[in-house]
Amino acid sequence: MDSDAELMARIAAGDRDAALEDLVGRYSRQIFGLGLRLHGDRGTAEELVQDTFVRVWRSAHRYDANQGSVRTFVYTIARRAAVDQHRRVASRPLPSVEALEDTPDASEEYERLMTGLDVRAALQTLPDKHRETLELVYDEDLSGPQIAERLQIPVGTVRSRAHHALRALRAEMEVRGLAL
Amino acid sequence: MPSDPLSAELFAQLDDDERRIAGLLGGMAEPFDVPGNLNHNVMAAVAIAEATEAMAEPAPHPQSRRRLPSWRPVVAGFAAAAAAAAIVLAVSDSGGPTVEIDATLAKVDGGTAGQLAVTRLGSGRSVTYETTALPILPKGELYEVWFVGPGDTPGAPNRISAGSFHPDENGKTDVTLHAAVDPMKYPGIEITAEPGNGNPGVDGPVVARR
Repeated sequence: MDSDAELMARIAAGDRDAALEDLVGRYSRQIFGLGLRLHGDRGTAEELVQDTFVRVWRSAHRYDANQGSVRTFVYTIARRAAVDQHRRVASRPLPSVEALEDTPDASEEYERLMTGLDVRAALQTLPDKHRETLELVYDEDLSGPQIAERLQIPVGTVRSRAHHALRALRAEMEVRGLAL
Repeated sequence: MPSDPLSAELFAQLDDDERRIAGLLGGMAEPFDVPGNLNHNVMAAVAIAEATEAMAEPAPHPQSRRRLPSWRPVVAGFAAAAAAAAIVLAVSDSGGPTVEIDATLAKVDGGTAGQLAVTRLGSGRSVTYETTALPILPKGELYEVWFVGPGDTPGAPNRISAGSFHPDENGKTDVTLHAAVDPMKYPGIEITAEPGNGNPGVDGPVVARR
């Protein structure tokens, strides 16, 4: 599997179909989530994803691996696209756009937001049993015995699945180049 | 992590990286559904943007370094695609962009519901829709455009979403969506009013159709 930097080099060389599609697959979910978080509706969120990757396609030649990761490059473009989108659709009330402001605190908030989306995206790639276990713990706040009862498995199996799930998630995040 | 013996015992078994991940899981985004054709539509949007720029490039003039016309589309989402649609409708059908559908939609309760056009650009489609006949929906709800195939029923849907939109504060809809659907295979067009509950399927009534 090509690294993000290898994909970006291929995109800059004009490989729209395979390399760009691969990059879209790695980040579209997170940017859609960003759009949902900022605008509250799916149509505008999808518009943000499209806008972002059109800009990535047009500016791929400007990416410099010495300046930062592809993740940072793509998310910076998404942030700018969201700012422009906010200006265009300002007549609609927007839930929260503090993360788009040009301040250090807002940049930190934006990074936290995108990391949360990255982790959710990584979780989606896990095998069903592993993903389900972590979702029951973190989305539904269930305890080990509650999960065991829900899934009709021993508590020891729940612990084992949770541990394996965390290991699998770590491996997935390493593949994605996400810092821990 | 919930505080019970499971968590304490599990944490004791984790290495530092795994504990950091457990911490990150505590802050991860709420779950959400992604449209099934999200990536396809993104690639269609890029194809349209590329085709749009190719069309807008003037032939080099040897005696002039004039600036490009002010109408040159700025590729920035819907606004650019709307301009591209206006351009392609003037292009002759010679293997370039092709208008595949140009239809007046009918409201289910009578009357017309505006003009919708589907234009093929490269490997994607641009769907432009203009109307003042659709009312502004309550906050959180939205209209969705569907390409409908043969045999489509509520129990066995055969349709693909081209995207969703809101009328503006004046009740006007003037939107361009991007899709990778072949209208020959999905010739019907419907607009539904969706509750915005995250369900990627049809959850609301049909308000207009072709």
